Amino acid sequence: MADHLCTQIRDAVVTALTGLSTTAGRVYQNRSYPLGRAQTPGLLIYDLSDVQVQETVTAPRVLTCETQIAVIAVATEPEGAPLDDELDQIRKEVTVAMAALAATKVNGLAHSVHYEGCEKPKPSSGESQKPIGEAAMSWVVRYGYVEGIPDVAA
Amino acid sequence: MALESAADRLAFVAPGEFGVDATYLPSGGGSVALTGLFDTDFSLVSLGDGAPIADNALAFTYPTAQHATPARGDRLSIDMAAVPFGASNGVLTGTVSFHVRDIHANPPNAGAGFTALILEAP
Repeated sequence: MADHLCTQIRDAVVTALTGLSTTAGRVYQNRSYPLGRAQTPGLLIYDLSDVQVQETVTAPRVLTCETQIAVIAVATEPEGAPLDDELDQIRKEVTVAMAALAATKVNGLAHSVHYEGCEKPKPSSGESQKPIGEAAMSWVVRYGYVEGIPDVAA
Repeated sequence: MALESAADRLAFVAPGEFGVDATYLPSGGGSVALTGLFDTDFSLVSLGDGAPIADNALAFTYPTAQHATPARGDRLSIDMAAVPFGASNGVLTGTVSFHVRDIHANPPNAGAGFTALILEAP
């Protein structure tokens, strides 16, 4: 049996975002432990929720779900350049890569992918060697499966 | 408890024991020799919903009498090799010219007669 579709989708996102120009291989999936400075600029990837939004009436029912994928860019301020520019460059690279993944419907696993937006909390000051900032982007991936078979897209 | 004299304060920051020599560089030019304590307190920075970032808060605490008018935006140059007890954590090496980002007069952990500069790495 293959992994749950959520796992397959999350893995596909990690693969698509690994090796980008600014964040390279510093991509961390569902990480709870702290990052070190050497792990920035990097990307934190979480699947925050998985909500069933629709189902067919007759058995076997086909369930349609939406999973929210958060991609959080983390960066420290480069010398002589604004932190915002660094975060925006990462956002650009991530957005391009996610658009390419969306065009394939996550390698055929999903019905659709859409971008929800980005939040940028106020950067750190005083408690770090250099200002640290984040840009938290999120996408909603809609996918479906036959009830009881959550590892096969339908 | 306040320290009693300028000599007491100097003993507190003596180079080779707990202190280190530094050069204060005002943005308007010139320089001031300082002797103080370079601290790299561990910190966890949490901004949003993601994992926190482990880092260090940088500060330099010195007897205020050495330089009573520091200003934000000035610089402080320190030879990391001279910092006692490896306080630079191996991350900062060579002579580093820090930005002065904030100034705390009479910081609570050092008593009266000291100033703490909150530093940012270049």
